[in-house]
Amino acid sequence: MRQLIPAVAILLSIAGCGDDGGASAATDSATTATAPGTTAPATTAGTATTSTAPASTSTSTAEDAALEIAITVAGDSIEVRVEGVSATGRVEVGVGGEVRLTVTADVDDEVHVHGYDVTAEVSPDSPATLEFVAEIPGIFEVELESSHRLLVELQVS
Amino acid sequence: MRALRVGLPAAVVLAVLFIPQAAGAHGIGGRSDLPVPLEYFLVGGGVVLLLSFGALAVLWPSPRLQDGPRQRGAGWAVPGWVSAAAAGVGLSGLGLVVAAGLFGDPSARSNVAPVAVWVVAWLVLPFAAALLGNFWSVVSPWRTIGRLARLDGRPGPGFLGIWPAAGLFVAITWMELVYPRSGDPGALGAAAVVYAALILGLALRVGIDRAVASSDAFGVYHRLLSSIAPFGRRPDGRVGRRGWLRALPVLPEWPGLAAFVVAMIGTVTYDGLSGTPWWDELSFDLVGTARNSIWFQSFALVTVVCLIGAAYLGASWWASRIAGAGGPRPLAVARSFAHTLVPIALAYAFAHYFTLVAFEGQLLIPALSDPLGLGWNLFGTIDYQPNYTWIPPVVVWYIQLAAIVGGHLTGVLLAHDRALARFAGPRAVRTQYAMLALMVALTTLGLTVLAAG
Repeated sequence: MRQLIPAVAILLSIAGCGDDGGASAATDSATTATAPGTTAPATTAGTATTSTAPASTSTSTAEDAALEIAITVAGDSIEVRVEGVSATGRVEVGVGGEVRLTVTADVDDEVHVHGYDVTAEVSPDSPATLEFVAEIPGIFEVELESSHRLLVELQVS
Repeated sequence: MRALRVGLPAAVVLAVLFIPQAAGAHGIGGRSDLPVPLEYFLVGGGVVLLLSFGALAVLWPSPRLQDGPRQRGAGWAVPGWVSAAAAGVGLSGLGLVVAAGLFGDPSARSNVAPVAVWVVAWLVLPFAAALLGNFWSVVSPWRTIGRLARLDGRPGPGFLGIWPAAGLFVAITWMELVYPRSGDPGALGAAAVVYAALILGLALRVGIDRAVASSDAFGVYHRLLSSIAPFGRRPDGRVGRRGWLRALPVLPEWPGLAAFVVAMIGTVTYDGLSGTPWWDELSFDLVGTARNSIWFQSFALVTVVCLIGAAYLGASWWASRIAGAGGPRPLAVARSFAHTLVPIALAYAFAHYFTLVAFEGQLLIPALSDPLGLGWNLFGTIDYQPNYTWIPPVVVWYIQLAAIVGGHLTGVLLAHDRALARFAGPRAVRTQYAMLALMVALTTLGLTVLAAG
């Protein structure tokens, strides 16, 4: 019993400096992104260094500027660009941030942002554009509805 | 009838073989919780370790939970009309899912079937059973149909135990988590028909009681979780208080009991793991796609369940070794400790899915006004918009941690009590190290999955 206390103390002290692990993994694509009003896009390895007070993080300098997410579907490949910068894995969005999602696809389908239930038709000659304010915290799938293909996940926090 | 019994499942299997690639399916929704922050995770883990080892030092020295339900008060004789009404609710629920699924609006968002199946039947009712007791035994629609059709037979699950139910539990979870059309009303309506046909087909051979006791995944799930509840049916048929957890240690040690509990834990673990970025990378490295391989996902679901099972067998083997030559064999240990994992399984499921109930469950409000998608507005709630922000993420994290830690502690208590009863002398306490190690590992895994989300 007594030997345990130092062990727990060590565990807890790791907590203090543990945040760097998640953050550093995100830097390679995050440093180039200048997402106004939102947090930077994360790489796949970015293990959520989430703030505990998400509602008050409106650090936006230009309120009207939305986070631009552009997705291109061509055959089997899905390319995601956040503010023009290629991204993999989850895209992080600050709570209350505006999102403008543009999907260009070589198929006819419907783009669906789950949870927010925003949808738009897409076809080879007309890209889909969806705009919404990210007010619900959580992780949300953006799918091509009828073919059930996952386009990207949004992490709103 | 025989052709139907073979034909329907075969048709489903064939249909499944030819379905295209899958994206991440969660039955319903498409929203998941934010990962638990690292500091919450570490505090939760520290509390678990402290409680675990503290428990060993201070817990009772002789068994206290092994003598079964403690009957308190006079109990309540359930009137016939209450049971009949409950059975009617069950039948209507099944009828609603089948009718809405097969004949209603094919869009998941304007049909009641997906939320009725994946939120109400698969989550809300089992969670309620852990509080209120085994009401499913009177609600169960297949049991009602079997009783009305007088498909009598022997009671109890028979020589296969509850292995068939464990298999069906994994199959239902597969439909929820892997099958790409899990939110498709038509698929759910068909699945409900196939499931009822399977149970009733079996009941034609062995009687409804044995069919349900051995094979109905819903029935067994409710039976296990309701053993936590402080209410239950007494030998005289009256319903009354019996004390929390009292029914768990006296659960019959059917063959497959450990398998069912392992399946409960393993499927939730798979669901958590498969939503993490780490898993997407692993999947991408192995099969070249993150979430679009139904074969990889199916294989992974079964593999995760098997790994949890292997860990449990390992702990059982270790406990048997500590007990020495005169003690129970590993498989006997595995059967006799299976019930101690039920609270952990409930905690896993609750921590992962209570937000699905709290948020996506609200979809029931508009869907009930127009269950078939025909433009009705029966209750005037058709325009209801679910509120996805009424529980802040911080509160979600606290509830998740509390569930996992509470489930862990309850499991440790139950295992301690069972070890005292099964293993004689001073070795009893030491045999617990094996189950304790397993439970700490499972809890750490549960927390890790929540944090990696």
